[in-house]
Amino acid sequence: MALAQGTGVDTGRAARKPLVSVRGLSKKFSNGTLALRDVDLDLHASEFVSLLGPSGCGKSTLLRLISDLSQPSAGSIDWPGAASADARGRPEHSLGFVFQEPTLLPWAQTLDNVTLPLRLKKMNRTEADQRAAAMLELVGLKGFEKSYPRELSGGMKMRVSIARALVTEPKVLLMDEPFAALDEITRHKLNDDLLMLWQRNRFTAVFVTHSVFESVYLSERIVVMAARPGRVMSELIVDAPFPRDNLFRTSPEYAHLCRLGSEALKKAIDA
Amino acid sequence: MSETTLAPAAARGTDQETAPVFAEEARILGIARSRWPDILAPILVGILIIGLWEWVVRYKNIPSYLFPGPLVIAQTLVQDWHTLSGALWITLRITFAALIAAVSVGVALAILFTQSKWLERSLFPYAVILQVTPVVAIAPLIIILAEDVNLSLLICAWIVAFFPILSNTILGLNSADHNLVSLFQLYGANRWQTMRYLRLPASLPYFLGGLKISGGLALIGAVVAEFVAGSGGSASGLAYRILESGYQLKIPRMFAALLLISLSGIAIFLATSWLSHRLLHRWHESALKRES
Repeated sequence: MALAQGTGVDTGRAARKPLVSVRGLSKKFSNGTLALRDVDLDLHASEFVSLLGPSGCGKSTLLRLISDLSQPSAGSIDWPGAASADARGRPEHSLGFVFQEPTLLPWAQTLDNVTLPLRLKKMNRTEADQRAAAMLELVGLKGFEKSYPRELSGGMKMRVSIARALVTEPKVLLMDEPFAALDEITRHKLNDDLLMLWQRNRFTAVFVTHSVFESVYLSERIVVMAARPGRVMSELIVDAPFPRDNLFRTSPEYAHLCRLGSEALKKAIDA
Repeated sequence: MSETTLAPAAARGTDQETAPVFAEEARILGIARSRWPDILAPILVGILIIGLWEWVVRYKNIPSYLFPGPLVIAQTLVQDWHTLSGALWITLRITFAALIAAVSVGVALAILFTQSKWLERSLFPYAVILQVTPVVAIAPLIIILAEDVNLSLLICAWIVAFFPILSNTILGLNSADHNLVSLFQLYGANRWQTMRYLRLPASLPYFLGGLKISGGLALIGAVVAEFVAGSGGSASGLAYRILESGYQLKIPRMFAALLLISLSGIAIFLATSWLSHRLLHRWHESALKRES
């Protein structure tokens, strides 16, 4: 039911084996709500995909299903592109998750927050600290290793959260409206930094948002979803080259793509 | 507008500059300036009341066997220090033993209860029964059943002190952020790791709240049990000294013992408050000062 509506389908990507393949996925909550109905979605290695839709369209549910935090009512999620897999068929160390809130341990210093995934994997402390410190430097927080979350601004907390998600070098980074609570200036800065990290580490990014502008700026592909029941309505390919910067943000091309995105979103809301 | 450099060299972009600033307050004798009124105001009230008390006793010529003045009480405290300090030591020993037992049993049960819903279902109601039964009512029974007096006092004080720890720690263990629980699940954390790195730290503010209540309750439990045991003539703590002084009409000594109990309670409260502040002041909302 996915409908390619883009300005030029990348045939090279379509031919490759997807990293994650979602087929006929449905999720019904115990209270009877149909959160997702019959969703098909392929995620390819190193692509940046946005899930765009109104609230209640099941974007977050889809992320939770992909990350195995919740079990589907019907359908399947396969990892055909994974090199090695653990007992549950999921490639090891392969997922990072960024929530809408920074979700940090309030009692732990920044460095300890970032090393958490590594400590849970029983990596030795020295190596974990080194990797976390490098990651913090990459997200622009060198010098804040000993700060507590309380002492950081909203944008900085989100950077810590991103650093924690990326410290395991995951193949897939799932982000659930991570910048929704931030002011616009901070959000633009974090968008740029996120793209920088993505181009550097080449993970597959799945970015949930309800902002057309944010999704167009960031993604190569936008999956537009509709609510009640949550389903995929259409897909939009954004083939503007990277790196993208302020020039792109003010270009007619960006405005045009945003218009297309808004129309697709409007269709999804009216559907 | 002056330029302030608070952020380390790495700060760039805009979001770093909005980070909250935690300025050190000026300190006098190691205590922050804004804390001094909290300390001085009650002390001033205390001095006024004691002065008034002494004045009323002298002015009205009230005999000390009816209502002793503060000076006589202070004298008695010094004179009878040998007897009273021994009694104080006995009461404090029972209080602390009860508090330690309350903390270990309370926390251990709370952890067990959060691991197994069935254990909680079957045992929690009995913890409530222990809590709601007045300790004065069961103290005689315990004193008869337990062979050793000290042991029976300990059990009574423990019964009173353990419930706030249990119920607060259960609440705390269950109060971990749901997204953090998901995150631990995502990284395949086992039960022990989730307990160690998430649930236990998350429960700390709640546990400490329970500890503050239990500290006072352990003392109350110990004193109440001593009263019950003391009326049977088989105890030697502060409550027993109060009873004894009452019989012998040594009223100033009674007041001196009472003073020691109050001071012990205050000391326990201050100690638990200090501990709570030490453990929480870097991260928990309750321990942070708001700048208005």
